[in-house]
Amino acid sequence: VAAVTRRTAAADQRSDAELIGLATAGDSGAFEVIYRRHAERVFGLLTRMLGPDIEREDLLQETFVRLHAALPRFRGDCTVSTLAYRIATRVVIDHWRRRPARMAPELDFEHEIAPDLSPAEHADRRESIARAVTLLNKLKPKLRVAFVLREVMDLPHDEVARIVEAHPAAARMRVALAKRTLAALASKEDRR
Amino acid sequence: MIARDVRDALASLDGRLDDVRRESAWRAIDRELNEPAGAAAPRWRWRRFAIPTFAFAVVVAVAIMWPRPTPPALAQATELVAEAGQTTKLERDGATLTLVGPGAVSIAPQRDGSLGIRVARGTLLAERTDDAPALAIAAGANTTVTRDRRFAVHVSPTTIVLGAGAAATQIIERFVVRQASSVTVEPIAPVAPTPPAPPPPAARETSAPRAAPRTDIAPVPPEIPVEAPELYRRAEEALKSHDASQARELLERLLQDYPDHALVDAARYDLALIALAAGERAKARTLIDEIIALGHDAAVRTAAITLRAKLP
Repeated sequence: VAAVTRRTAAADQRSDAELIGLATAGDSGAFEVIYRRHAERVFGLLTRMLGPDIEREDLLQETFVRLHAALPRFRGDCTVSTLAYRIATRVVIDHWRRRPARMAPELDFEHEIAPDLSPAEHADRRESIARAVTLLNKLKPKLRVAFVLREVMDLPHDEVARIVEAHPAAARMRVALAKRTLAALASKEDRR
Repeated sequence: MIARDVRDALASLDGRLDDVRRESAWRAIDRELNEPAGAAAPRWRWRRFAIPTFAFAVVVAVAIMWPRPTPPALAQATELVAEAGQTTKLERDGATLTLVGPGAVSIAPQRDGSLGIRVARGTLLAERTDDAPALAIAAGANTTVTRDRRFAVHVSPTTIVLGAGAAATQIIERFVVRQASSVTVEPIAPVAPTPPAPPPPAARETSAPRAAPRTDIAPVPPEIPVEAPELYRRAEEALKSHDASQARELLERLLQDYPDHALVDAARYDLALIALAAGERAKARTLIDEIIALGHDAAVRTAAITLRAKLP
């Protein structure tokens, strides 16, 4: 049933703007189509931001609940995907602020690493991901978000600026600063 | 290099949303969107308590900071001074105050509406009309509130006498008219030569105003006894002000009235010093010998022995 529903949503030819109008008018089916059209990308963003954190599904739900609440105020000044990313980054930042900095995230690698790797490669991959998440967690939230959007998601600077609601130059600077900070943190760890 | 490692590690994550997780997430979203408005936003429930709490805090803050009516400022005290043999008169708030010197009186209205009169020294005759405020007369450590039409006070270093009505007349007769015939106080009513039946001494504190001032003679109220420490303190003050005769009088009264008091030795020693200063060596020697023979205060006895050794 899920597969049929997904295919039906994907095959829906109505534009995002049209679906937003219907969803705002109370059509829950229209919002479900929006969800099925963008959930995959939002979940991918959350995975890159947080690593294989077990709380990603909760944050995905929160993102779409907030998106639903934001639809009546949506003026069409950006795409729905940009709006969903923007809300997802806010949800992630709120999540980081709620969680104490010293509390390490609980990671779940079961679904996130390709199953065809050898045990040694699997262990190496787990170690490198855990180290990357640890380093990333030491960045300030705004730098973390800009770095992931630009360097990991490979979005253009203008799109990053629209998502984080900053000037493109500021977004570019955040990315550069995140890179320098990561290098400094890594060298500091290596010296230990 | 490091940024690239981090980027590669994060990019290697699958990040795909499988059907099970997608459907469970949608069910949770759909359930939350279709919940009643109150249940859908539980985090705003605190407003239900916050707004009344805030309103209560505002009310309490306003109640605390609300300006309270300040009591009306009292008028400044007035000083009434009379030199020896002089008479000073002052009318204030329906009361007429006549001070026979040497004397000093401070007059200031009190918060309870009465007129406060502190007599430091001298003889004061206070007369008031029926609608005048009560008089709170302080002499020494005593304060008397009176509504009598006539009230007299005499304060000297050794004596405090006060009385109302006929007793006031007696006080004026005793301390002003007889002792200084040149000084006359006009408001004093004439004293009858022979009282037929003297009434009991006037009460010091009465509340009902009397219809007319009494002219009959009342027995003079007894002098308020002054305790030995107070006598000694006054004697010390007199010595400080180089009033040796006054000091001598007070110390001799202490020896007479309180022969067993602990201050007797000190009083004798001071009397001896006064006698020495006046050239009365024999009297000083007698006093010192008394201290050495009868004294209980070790420090005073030691000082007396030392002083005795210096005397020929």
